[in-house]
Amino acid sequence: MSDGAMQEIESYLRRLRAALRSLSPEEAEDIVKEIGSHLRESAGTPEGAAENVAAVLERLGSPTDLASRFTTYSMARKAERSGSPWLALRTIFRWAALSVRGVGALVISLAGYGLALSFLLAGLAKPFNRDRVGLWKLSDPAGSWSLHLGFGAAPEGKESLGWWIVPLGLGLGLALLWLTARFGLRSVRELRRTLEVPVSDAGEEKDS
Amino acid sequence: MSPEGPDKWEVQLRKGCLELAILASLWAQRLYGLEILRRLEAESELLVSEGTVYPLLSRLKSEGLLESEWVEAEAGHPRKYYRLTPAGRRRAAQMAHFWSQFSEKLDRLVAPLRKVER
Repeated sequence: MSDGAMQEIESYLRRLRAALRSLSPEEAEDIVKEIGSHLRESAGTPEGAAENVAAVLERLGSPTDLASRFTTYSMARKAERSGSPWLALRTIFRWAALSVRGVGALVISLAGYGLALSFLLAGLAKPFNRDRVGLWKLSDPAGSWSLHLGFGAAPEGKESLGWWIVPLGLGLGLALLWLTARFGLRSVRELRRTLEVPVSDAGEEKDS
Repeated sequence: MSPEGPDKWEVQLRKGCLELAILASLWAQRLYGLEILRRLEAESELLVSEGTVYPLLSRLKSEGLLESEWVEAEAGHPRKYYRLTPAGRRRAAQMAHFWSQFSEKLDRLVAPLRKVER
């Protein structure tokens, strides 16, 4: 094999190894070794090696694309099996890099957790910061509502819940936390199903 | 087929059949990745690429349908051979059974269209 083709292969494998770091070192090395073996065997005769290797590299896609095809499915499966909302959220982050539906799932998850934490914080902080935590009906013309967590001064307007913010904040916060976690795990299951039919194939359109 | 390439339906159909094709190619013998690709290329219309097949093999393995082993080749680079596990054989047989029934019936349904085309 020519030196140029050899260098191309080495550089691709190095980037692939880096992109597979979310797997265990053994799993990552197994994949790198398999792709490396494929590339070396596909290179063929020294004369055609550069061209052959370039063609295979194009069909493999970029190292990061290829790595995410290997890792996203196993991540989704792990999250699904463990039922861990944290793993589910991390999987959704990765999904968001792959598709529009993933971005949608990520936005909903972040909004859900953000709102849940605000409610919980309001419920928990009220006893310690009576005058500045609560739900206010603002005195602006639009009559909008504002949830205050105690940062900054109390707003202009009328506080509307009083001590009810404690049970309501805790209740709503926990309910929303639970719902968002359920949504996350359902999204992960959906992602896993879409991946069971192999994801879009870079080489496919060109080959035909 | 449009001049721009296969339409979406064809692409989806090929993707849907890929898992069956891979399991079927391993029915009688163990093969390594490049051999699987060559077999699919020679004996099916699936037009698959390396970027699809290797992650799919890895998934089928993680589902317990395939097992793999590294074998030192004379060529100098070791090869990763895949074979069906008992669960993989059951799954392949089920899929093949469904496929035969399905394609036979659909064939009957589209038979009149084929005559028109000729």
